[in-house]
Amino acid sequence: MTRLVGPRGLSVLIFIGLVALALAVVGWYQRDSGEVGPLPNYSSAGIAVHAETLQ
Amino acid sequence: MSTRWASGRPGSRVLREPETTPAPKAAPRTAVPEADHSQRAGLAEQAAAITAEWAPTAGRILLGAVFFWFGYHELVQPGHWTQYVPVVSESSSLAVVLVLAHGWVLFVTAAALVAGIAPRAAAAIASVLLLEIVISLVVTGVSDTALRDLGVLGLAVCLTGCQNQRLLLRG
Repeated sequence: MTRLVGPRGLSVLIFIGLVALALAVVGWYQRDSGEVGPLPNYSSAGIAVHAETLQ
Repeated sequence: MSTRWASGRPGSRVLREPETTPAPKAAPRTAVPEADHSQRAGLAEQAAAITAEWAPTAGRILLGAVFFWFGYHELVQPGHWTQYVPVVSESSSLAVVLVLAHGWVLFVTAAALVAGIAPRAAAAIASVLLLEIVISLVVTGVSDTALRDLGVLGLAVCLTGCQNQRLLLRG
């Protein structure tokens, strides 16, 4: 009977599983940062700088 | 006498040609399209053979890329995905844990798909995951996303039945 996953495949899966676990720990500590804030508005500052350059 | 439209024009090349000359030219004219046709048929057969050989592998790797992307983002930013967890409250810790567990399974399944580790079993797990995603999306009522994932579910189901895979990690 042949095994479904060989030793090399199992090693890769264990490594990836540990990487995913580390990413999950990172995700747990920033779990409250799900809210997407509004984009900053740089338009007024950009126009002011451009106007100063023109003068 | 030829009855073609240019036969009566004075000085035309058609009139100067003897009546017997078109006969030897007719043979190459018919042979060239046959050669073209057989060459095209050969190319088409070759393309079909290459497609049949590599299409399951391409589909497997592309499905793995999709799973990698979603798994990574569910792991790193679970707060963005808790809204898709049915029944459980979006702001609860249980929803975050469920998203993290889901992302972990997606990530490992993606690695199995891309690396070719037990590809049919990985595709079967992917089918179950996508079925669960489609059901949860239908429950929350996001129909366009659910239909898109239904197509990805079709790819995963097809890959579950594909036996001739290339680029596998055996052993």
